[in-house]
Order: sequence, then structure tokens, then C-alpha cells
Amino acid sequence: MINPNSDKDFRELIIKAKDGDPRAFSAIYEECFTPIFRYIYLRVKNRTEAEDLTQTVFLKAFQSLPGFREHGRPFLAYLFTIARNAVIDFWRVSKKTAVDDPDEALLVVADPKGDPVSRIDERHAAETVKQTIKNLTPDQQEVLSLKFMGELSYAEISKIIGKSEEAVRQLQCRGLKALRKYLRSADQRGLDAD
Amino acid sequence: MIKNDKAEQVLIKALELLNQGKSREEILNLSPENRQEVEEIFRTAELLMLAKNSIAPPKKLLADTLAKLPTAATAREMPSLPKFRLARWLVLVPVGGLALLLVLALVATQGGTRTLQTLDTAAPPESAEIATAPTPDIFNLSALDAEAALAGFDADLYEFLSEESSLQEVDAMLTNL
Repeated sequence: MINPNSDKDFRELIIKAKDGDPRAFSAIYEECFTPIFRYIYLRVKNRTEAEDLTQTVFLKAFQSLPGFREHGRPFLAYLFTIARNAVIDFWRVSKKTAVDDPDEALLVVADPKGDPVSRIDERHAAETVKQTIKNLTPDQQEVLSLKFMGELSYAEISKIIGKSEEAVRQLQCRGLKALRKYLRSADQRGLDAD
Repeated sequence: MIKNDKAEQVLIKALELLNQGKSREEILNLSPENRQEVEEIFRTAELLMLAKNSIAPPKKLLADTLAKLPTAATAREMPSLPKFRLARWLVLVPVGGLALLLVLALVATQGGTRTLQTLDTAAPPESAEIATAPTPDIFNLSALDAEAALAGFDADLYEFLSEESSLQEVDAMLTNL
């Protein structure tokens, strides 16, 4: 289990994983790599771009390890800060519009032995979320992605996005309300089409 | 200042309690008048959590990323958190500045010596002046040289005139004129 507050754990795990330690590999995959990928995916809404950016984030994080100073900031939050900046750069530099990849649906089910029905539900949920979240404000998208994909606390999100915890809670609440509204209208359109 | 209406405050509190691990039913019972709205928010949050579970990167991507990182040996050699890095730089700043000043002083001295050597050569003074850029040092040295030459000429003249034979020589010359 990686300690998200420690850059040393991260470095040691990276070294071990590179040396072929499967437990270190799994720890990095579960604790850092997947949350970062999920967050980036929901922000760029494209699997290929999300993969490229996730790789870039990890390379940057590893390169900047010697200069990392905690200042009370957990290391995982530091990774998310790099990821957030990478996403901002992605949109600013490329000036791209979101290109969805519904066929791939970005989904690689982590546990292929899971219940097929549940997997179908999850796939449907992911696609629905991906399609509706883009209607929210950038701040709301940011907070919901960090909260639900990154599983970060309000305090961590607050530090990453530079807003108060109160503001983060409000953005989450309003984001969920707005998402609910868009889901309802999407559902209604689906019913009308039927 | 963040302004929340009462219903929003209830939702924020409900999400906070859910975040803390309280059961849904327990939270819903806390505010029966907002039950429907709170339930809807919870369902939306659940949808996001469900979506999260199906989004995962391929493990090959992590393997490829690790392959691009420096080798294990290089990684081990990477310094740990350099807590005194800034302090080290602060020490280096005046030392570096002093070293730079010394180098500049040396360069300036070397430049002056080289100019003097150029002037001392047998080449005509015009070419020497062209070959070297005029600097205040050169002017000073030239003035000193000229002064020394004038002083030498004065001394020779005084010596010549102070000798008795010289006076006869001068008389003879004036007579011839």
C-alpha cells in the first residue's frame, strides 16, 4: 500500500516495479496510475489523449521528485496538480474540442471476472457521465472529477484548485444538481425516441 | 462570500455526512422535508462512483511508462528531498560573484599587458595604434613614454652645454653662420 503522503514510497515503488516486482507494480497501478487516468479521462473525454497525458504526468512527476517539497501537501495531491496542469495545457495548446470515442468508451474493465451485469451497468454509467458532465461549468467538472475519479478529500481538492473548502463543497453540490438535471433531460429524450 | 440557500445547505451537509461514512437512510431521516432532493443527489453521486469503477487504464500503459523512466540505478542515485538546496545556492551566489570579479580583473590586466607588449615591438607606432584598440591605459602609457623621452633629451642637452668643449663647438658653429 502506497503512502500518498510520501514521495519516497512512490520512488521506491517505481524502482521496485521497474525491477519487476509485481506487488510494487500493482500498488502504483491501483493507488496512483488509475486515479490519475480516470481524472484525466473525464477531463479530456478521449481515451488516447488520456493515456498520453497520464504517461506524461508520471514522467514529469518522477523527473521532478528531487525538487518536490511537501509543505504539508500529500504526494498524491502533487500528482493531481501535475495532472490538472497537463489537462489545462492540453486544452490551451491544442485548442481542441472534445473528441469522444464512444466505440472504445475508454473502458477497460479492471476486473474482467466481475459480474457481467454489473459491468454493463458500469459501462453504461461511464458513458452517460462522460456525455453529460461536459454540460457543467469547468469548475464543477473539475471538482466532480477530482472528488469521484480521484477520490480526493475536500481539503486536497481545495489546495489543488486554489479555492476554499466551502467553495469546493458548493461546486460539488451544484455540479451534482446540474448533472442530475441533464441526466433527466437525456433520459426524457431517450424515452421520447422510443 | 459564498451564499447558499437553505436547501443547498441541506444537500451540502448530506453529502458531507455521506462522505464521512454515514448510512443513506440515516442521512435521509435527518431532513424528511428534503428527502426527495437528497435522494436524487445521492443517486447522481452513486452514478459517478459506478462510472469510476469501469474506467481504468491498460496495464501495458503503466509498463510502457515505467520503461521510459530512468533505470533503477539512476533512480536510486537521485537525491532525496534536497532540504538545503536553496541555502547551498545562497552560499554560492557571493562566491560566484567574487570569482566573476576576479576573472574580469584578470582579463583586464591581461589586456593591458598585451597592449604594452604590442607598443614595445619594433613595428611603427601607427600600426601599433591601429592593431590595438585605444584604451585609457594605452594613453597613460604613451604619455609616460613621451615624458621619459623628453626628460632624457633635456638631460643630454644640459650635459652637452655644461661641457667647456661644447661651448667652443657652439662658438665655432655660430661664427660659421
